[in-house]
Amino acid sequence: MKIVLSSQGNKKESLVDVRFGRCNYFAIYDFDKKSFDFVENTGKESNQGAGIAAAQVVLKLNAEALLTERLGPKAFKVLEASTMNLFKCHGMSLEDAVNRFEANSLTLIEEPYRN
Amino acid sequence: MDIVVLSGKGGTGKTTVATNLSKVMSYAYVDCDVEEPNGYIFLKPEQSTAMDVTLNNPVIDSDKCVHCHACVTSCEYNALVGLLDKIILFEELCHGCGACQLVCKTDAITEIERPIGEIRISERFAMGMLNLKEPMGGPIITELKKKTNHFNNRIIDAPPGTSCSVVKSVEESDFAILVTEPTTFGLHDLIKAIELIEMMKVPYGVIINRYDGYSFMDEYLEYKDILCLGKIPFSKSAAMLYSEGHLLIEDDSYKTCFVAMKKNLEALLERRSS
Repeated sequence: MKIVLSSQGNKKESLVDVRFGRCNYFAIYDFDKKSFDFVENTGKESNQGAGIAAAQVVLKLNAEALLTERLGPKAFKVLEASTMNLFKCHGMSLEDAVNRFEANSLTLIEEPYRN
Repeated sequence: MDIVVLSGKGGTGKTTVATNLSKVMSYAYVDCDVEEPNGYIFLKPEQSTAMDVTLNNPVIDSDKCVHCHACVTSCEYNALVGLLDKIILFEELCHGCGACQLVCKTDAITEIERPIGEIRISERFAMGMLNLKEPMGGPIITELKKKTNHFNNRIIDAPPGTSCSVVKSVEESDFAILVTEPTTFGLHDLIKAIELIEMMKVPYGVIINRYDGYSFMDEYLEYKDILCLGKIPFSKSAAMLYSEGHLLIEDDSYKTCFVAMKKNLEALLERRSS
């Protein structure tokens, strides 16, 4: 099983990125291998629709769940239509987030973020 | 002859300059500030003809779609997202370029026209209006300029900033008036507007609004050797006229000021054309 996280950096100690569409990296955690893979978010410089482009990338990764701080209305609309579970993380490292995911202590993102 | 009025910073007096100059110069007035057109408040046009401006959006036939996602990849604006069993369109991001239709191998994509705003044309006046929640004014500005081509001489009131909408308003203009005010923000955004206008190679001059004596603004223009077409004095009476929807030229001293600008401009345009 795999899960995806929006990440500020490309190390397991990196923090979960508050931004989804314009995060620096997507971290992919593989529960079988117990290790992280990192994909650079090339869509972060998009003039528009960065959240949508990021959602498209995440969908292609075939992961079970997405862990991020918040999702904008467009990214939420896309991901909500998929089978992926969406979880909220606030100010924690990737490792920490994965542990909490395993311990079932993360809350679901049930609505898009509005300013 | 098309003269475009822009500013960089908002609220410096583009519409004040554009409406008053259009009157003293007998030019038609075209309001390209489609997000919030307000020239009509001062020029009070007679009855106008309205027409919709539409954008072509893709419609995907799910029976024909084989989910190859070629359309998604082709979209420069991230307006399409491919899920396993369907394609989602974010219509507000679509520029109507038609690339998705071109790359579709199974002809699953057709287009529909979606209204995004309207233009209104009277005898010597025209304006564009973008619908609420629509983000893209460019197509309306292009259509507005095309539909008012029969006005021989136009003053084009551009939106604030230096965005795509401003570029569309400036395109193919013969001359540009940059309106500024003697404030730090005014100068900062004037410099941006100058950068844009020099890149677009349109000759230009500056008008200083709310002029309150010699300042860093005059210094800047002198230092850069930029033409100053006129200065509109700062006064409470100007603010009162404006707030009541009157043209400044209804006041004699302001009329003199705009007539002087008109003469400067006409002399300049004549020199340029000869």
